[in-house]
Amino acid sequence: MMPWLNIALPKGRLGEYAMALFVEAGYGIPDLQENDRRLILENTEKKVRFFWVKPIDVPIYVARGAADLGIAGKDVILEQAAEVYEMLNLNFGICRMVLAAKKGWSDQGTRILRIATKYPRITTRYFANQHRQVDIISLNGSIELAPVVGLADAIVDLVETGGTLRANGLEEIDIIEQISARLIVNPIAFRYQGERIREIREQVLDLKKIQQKG
Amino acid sequence: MAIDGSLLSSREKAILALRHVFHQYEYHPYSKLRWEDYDFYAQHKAFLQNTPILSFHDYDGRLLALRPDVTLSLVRRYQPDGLIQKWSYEETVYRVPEGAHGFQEMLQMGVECLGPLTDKEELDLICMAGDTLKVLNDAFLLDISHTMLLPGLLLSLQIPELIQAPFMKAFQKRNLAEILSLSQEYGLDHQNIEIIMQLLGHYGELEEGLLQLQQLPSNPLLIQAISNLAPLIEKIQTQNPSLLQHLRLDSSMEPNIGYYRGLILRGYLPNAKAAILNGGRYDPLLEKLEKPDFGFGFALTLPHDEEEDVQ
Repeated sequence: MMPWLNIALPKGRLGEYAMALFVEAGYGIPDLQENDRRLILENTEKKVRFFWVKPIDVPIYVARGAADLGIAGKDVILEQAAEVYEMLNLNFGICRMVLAAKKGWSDQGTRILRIATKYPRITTRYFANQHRQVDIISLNGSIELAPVVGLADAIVDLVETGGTLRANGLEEIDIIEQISARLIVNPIAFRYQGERIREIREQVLDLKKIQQKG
Repeated sequence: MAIDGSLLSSREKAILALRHVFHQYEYHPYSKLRWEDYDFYAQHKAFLQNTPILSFHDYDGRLLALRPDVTLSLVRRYQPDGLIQKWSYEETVYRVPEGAHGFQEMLQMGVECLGPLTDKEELDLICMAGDTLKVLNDAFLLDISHTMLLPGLLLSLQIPELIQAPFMKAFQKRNLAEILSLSQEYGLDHQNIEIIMQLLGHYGELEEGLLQLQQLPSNPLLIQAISNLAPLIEKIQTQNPSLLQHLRLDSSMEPNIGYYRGLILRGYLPNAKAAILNGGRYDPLLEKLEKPDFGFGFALTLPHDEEEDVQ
């Protein structure tokens, strides 16, 4: 009997885009309703089950085997450092992880930098590679405010257009990582459900190629 | 007094069955292991790849450690006598698993084969690893690789040493998107990258993987890996053909302990959360401990509460 294939999707825009891609690839949910609030959706014919989870948790669901596949932003994959295989760049949800500070600010290297971020692991690694000691201030939102009110010297955050930075008098100092949505796979599922996972990967890849041509 | 089998949990039954497999292959239980001095692990930190070590003070103030690894302790006590020694063990180890927030106590059952080893012992150990996993689940998979394989792949792509680190990381994570983007960035040969993508994106049987490897430009590291793996497959084909369907070549495998050199193994079960068996050839450990011999072994980390992993 064919086992269920569990796919973790991030709640929000990224997940909705991914869901639309799966539907187009033939993994639609027959009884899906408008504003459907169910957290688990199933396609019983294809034996595929989708979970809606908090975006930051997708790599954990996949690494721990609760989901066989998942769609996650490169930012959360790096931040969670979970043991997953990253098998496809979906090229949507494109943005960049940057170091930003108030216009005209520069690092004099005379004291420990205070960096506000939602991404402490990525920030730690970035500054460790530069052999720079930093005081990381973990925040959960409105990161751009931190340098403006003097809580931090600079921030590490996601930027799409740069509009919010500019509106708050900040500018990009360095690009740390290019970010986009990725298809991630649990290593055990890769071994035991490899054929089905590869089939899904190929179907999604073909759709992406068609979309790019269109 | 006869033991009533119905009183045993499936985990206890699995432990008995594993003991039976070890006994069949003539491995003798090793029971001389005690606490280790913390210094011993501190000296061999590189081998343990900075695994955290749980330490404590004895009454007399000595700093002792709870064992994170059994092989180190067993090899430390190994007395070479010119003959092959086969030891099995059941020991508790203390480690911080990947992604966990603290130490966990785990039961390890394993074997170590020490002495003037030949190809025969390597073959026996791989067959034994298969029999060991089969005790836990018929649908087991045993990944085989060689410590020279991953560096050999990088060399065959002619990746300069300075930029090898991101490629290595992408290979280990089977990060096909990253490999493609890096290879475009550095202008690597498209045909060779295609073979690598096939190798990493696919999870075929051992023989198929080896054929793909042979399509890549040759280099001394790749030759060493292939010349170790190819004869092994031939021997398994003749001596234990039913095992072949469970064997896979994992070109992304990097040893998780620093003392391996040569063949490396990793075993999987369908419902387990991670690899359940780890092992390989560890001659560098014997060299470091000034014992001029060879060593090969593997260990199973038995799940504690996840009895569904065990049939």
